Parts: sequence; structure tokens; C-alpha cells
Amino acid sequence: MEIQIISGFFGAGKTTFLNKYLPLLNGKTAVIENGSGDIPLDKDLIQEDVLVRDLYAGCICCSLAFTLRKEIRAIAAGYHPDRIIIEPSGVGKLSDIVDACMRTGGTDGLGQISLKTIVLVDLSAFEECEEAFGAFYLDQIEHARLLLFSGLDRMESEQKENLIKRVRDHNPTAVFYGDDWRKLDGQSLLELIQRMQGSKEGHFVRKDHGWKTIINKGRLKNAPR
Amino acid sequence: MHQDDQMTPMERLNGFLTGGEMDRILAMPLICSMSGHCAGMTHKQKRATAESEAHCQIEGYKKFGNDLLIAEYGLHTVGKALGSVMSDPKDAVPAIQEHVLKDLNDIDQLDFEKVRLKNSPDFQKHLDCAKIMIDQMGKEVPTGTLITGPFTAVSSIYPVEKLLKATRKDPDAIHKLMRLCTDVLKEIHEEFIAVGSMILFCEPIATGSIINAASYREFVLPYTIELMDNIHKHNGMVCYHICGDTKRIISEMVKTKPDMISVDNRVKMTLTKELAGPYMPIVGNVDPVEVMILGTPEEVDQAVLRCIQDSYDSPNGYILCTGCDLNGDIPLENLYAFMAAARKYGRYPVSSANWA
Repeated sequence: MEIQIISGFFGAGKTTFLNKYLPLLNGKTAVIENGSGDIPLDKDLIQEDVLVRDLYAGCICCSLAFTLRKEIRAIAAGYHPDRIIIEPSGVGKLSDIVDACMRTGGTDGLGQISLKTIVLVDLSAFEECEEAFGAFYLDQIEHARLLLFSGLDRMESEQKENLIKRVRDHNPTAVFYGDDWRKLDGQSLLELIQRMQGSKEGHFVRKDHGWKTIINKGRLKNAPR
Repeated sequence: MHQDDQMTPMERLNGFLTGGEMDRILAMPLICSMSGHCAGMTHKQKRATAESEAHCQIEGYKKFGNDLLIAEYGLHTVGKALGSVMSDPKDAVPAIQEHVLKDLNDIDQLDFEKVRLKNSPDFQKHLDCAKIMIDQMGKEVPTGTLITGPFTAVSSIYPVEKLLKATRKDPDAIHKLMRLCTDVLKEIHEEFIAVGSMILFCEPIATGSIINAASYREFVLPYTIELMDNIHKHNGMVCYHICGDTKRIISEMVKTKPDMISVDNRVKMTLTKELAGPYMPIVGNVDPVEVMILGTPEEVDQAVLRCIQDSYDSPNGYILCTGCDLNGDIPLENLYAFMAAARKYGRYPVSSANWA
């Protein structure tokens, strides 16, 4: 079973991402939301057979991980989804959520878990958040497999590149998309997420000629269009 | 008194506080959220009345002989009284579904009179629970009440992510909320102290996972010092607990001068002993999930042993505890194992001979 975690601090665009991403998916999908943001999931955009569960179990405490594991087990047993998508609280440590998900495969006996972590970062607030917040903020970035950025609208190119470099200093191996992901068409977004699936150390994506250029350990390759 | 002990918990606590005789270390697994299971009740049945909450605590004590009964003002009662909407699950801890405060410009519209005892049925219920336990069991076992800290109380009014953002964008508004919550918490503390309860001062949202040390110093520390001073002014006793990783703020927590300090299992007891041990008793920290809920009795036994080995020689004393509240489907045999290990490895005088 595949589990995708859509993480990021308040205002980074998690729910906007889900509203764009969920309608693109085939197969059976279940969504677990932990806490609700200002923007609800747009039920009109989501396929009718997508199961959406709210998990109201606090935001950080040890019991959350346990409750999440129970919820994943219950969904797997009762709904048999192809994938579960988790939108955790914006102040949750992504490493804790990853650990909980992986334990559902090991300790909890759900078999092999394929895990993807997509982290949205409001680039315009990065410096302030990095300085001001507790460990959760950088923990999210450090455990991303795909980094998507928001807050780029009024940013000069040089400033944007510098900030992206600073984010990537915390996670140089994650795939990232250096432009406004909201402008990607559905197929391109899916391909970007596919790219993350095969990402290994040294792989990342950047916007040289659109996003479809991969740099693999310094060697340019063309990604499938 | 439990059949396997030689002293009552109250006699043991008095020995601990006065340097007198003790049969074993104090052992206080946080049998709180899951206490219904001690009496065959769901969480919803347990939380329905003061009588049922007290009954579950007393049944737990009869089974295990743990050294503390726990009443539960809780983490969300301030927000709920003001109008935050809570879930009502059958067998889980209620959580906030909708916060009462949407906009920091509306702070003045919050009616904190609703939080006061005369206007809050939940406050009255939890206070009645403490009274029942103290009336029925007070000569034998102490009672503590789990009460939110001020920063966590603010998070029950205004969502934590917005709260965190506002510490940068609108710090004055957060200070205003902290002031209001601090003032109302004073009355809450005083009421529970007046009936004879200890204060279990819990501040999970101030964890180092969420706020850094600078924010703790600015938004949490001054109000907490004020509350601790007020507790002591009213002759109360308080244990200060923050969940999660508190390594960077333990020394700041010490400055608030609680009577004892409790840490989550993410913090090593050896570090706690080094940073807080010279000033006050330390409390902790068997893993509540991986060991207490998911572990075997043998794993519980070994986790208790490690805690005692790391902590028994702390200069101002040590109380064996879980790293956080016990939640979920905890096997009761693990609680028996916890207390059996406390009696075995924590037998006084504690020394390596106990585990040789």
C-alpha cells in the first residue's frame, strides 16, 4: 500500500495542493486529515469514492502517532485503498508521522509500505519560520522527498534562488520544483510526483527548461515529457 | 493498602517529602485518559460524571496500588467553556473541532466569566471528582489534578498554527491571551488546592518541537513563574510537565520553581537529573506508547528498570512515572508489570543490589 504525507506549516498550501491533486488520482484513495485548516477540501472536486477521515487527536503528543496507526489499520482493513493520503497538523514533526506510517507496515503487519512525503514551504516566510519556530519546522523540510514552494508571487528571481538554496541546505536530496506548482497542469504535477518516487540521493528537479529537467549528481538528463 | 506494599501511598509521599522512611520508590503511572478501562467503562462513560471519573480512578488504585489518583481539569476545558467545539468520541479523548476565536481582533469578545467555577459545569464536575477521591481515599492516597498550562490553554481558544504565527506577527495579542488565561488559571488552581489536590501542570504546546527556547522565554516563562508563585502562595504542590523534546528548555522550566519536574520519554532521565536534579525531584519517563501500550510485560519491566537505574540517585529524589498520560488500549497486565517492577527494583534502600 502507498502512503503519501502532505506536510507543511499553516498557509503553505497543503489543502490547495490536495484540491488540485486528488481529482487527478485513479484507484481507491483515502484521506486522513489531522486538524482542519482554514481551507476545507473541496468535496465537489474529489471523486465520490475518496474516503475522507478527520483525525482529531491533538497535534503533537505521543497519542497522535498511536491514533494515526489505528486509523491507517482500520482504513486498510475496511476500505482496501490503493493509497492513503495524510494531511497532518502543520506543527507536527514529519519524522514522527513517517515513523508511525512505517510501523503500520512493520509492527502492525500491513506489509510493505511505499511512503512519499510532499512538503509545502511558504518561501516568503521561510527565514522567519526557520528562526522563530521549534524543531517541527525544519524537521518537515528535512524529511521531505518532494519540496514545493509557495509565496513566490512578489519575489525577485535572485531572492527566490537564494531562499531555495537555503531550504535545500537542509535537504539536498529531495526532489524540488522551483516555480509555482499551482500553474502546473495535472499531467505535469503527476509526473513530478512520479519523479519523487524514484528519487535517490543526488536526484532533484529544477526549473531550467520548465520543471522537466533532472540533475542527477550533476549530470543533466531529460525527464519524460 | 495494596497487598504487595508495606506503606500507603500517602505515608510513602510523606516519607519522600520529609526524608523519612519509605518501603519503595513512588510510582505514578499516569492512569488518566485510559482509567475507564480499570472499571470496564468507555472513555465517554468515564467522563460523563464526577462520580464515574472518581470511581475509575479508585478502581485503578485498588488494582495496581499506584501512588496518585488523578482528577482531570484537562487541556481543553478553558477553550470549551469559552465556546470552542469539542468532539464527543465513544472511547477516545475528546479533541477540539472548532476554536472559538477566529480573529485576534475579537479577543475582547471572549467572556472569561464563563470559565469561572460558578459558570462552568465542566470545572464543577472535575472539582467534584477531586473532592470525591479526597473524601473517600484522601487518608490513603494523594490526589493530583491535571490542569492545562497557560500556553496550551490559549491553544484551546485559538488554533495552534495561527497562535504560533501570531507570536511573530502579533505578539501583543498573544500576550493579551496569555494574561487572560493566566488570571483564570489562578482561580482554577486555587479551587483544586482548596480541596486538597496537587496540581499537575501540563503544557504540551510549549514543547521544544513547537516553540523554540526564545519563544518559551518570552511567551511562557513569565506567566508560568507567576502561576507557580500563586500555587505556592496558596500552599499548593505542583509538578510541571511538558511533553515531547524539552532538552533545550529544562533549565528554563527549573526557573519556574515547581516542586517537581516531569519529562517525556524523549528526554533522557540522565540529562534531567543533571539539569533539574540539583534543584528538585525529577519524574519520568517510561514510554507510554511503545512500551506501555504496545510492549510486553517483560519490556515494561526492563523499561522501569532503566528509569530507576538512571534516576534513583538524583540529589532531590526521583518518582517513577510514564513519559505522558496513558491513552488508548493499554493492556492492564502492563500496568501490573509496571508496579511490580517498581516494587522489585525500587525497593528501599534502592541500590544496584535490587537488580543484580
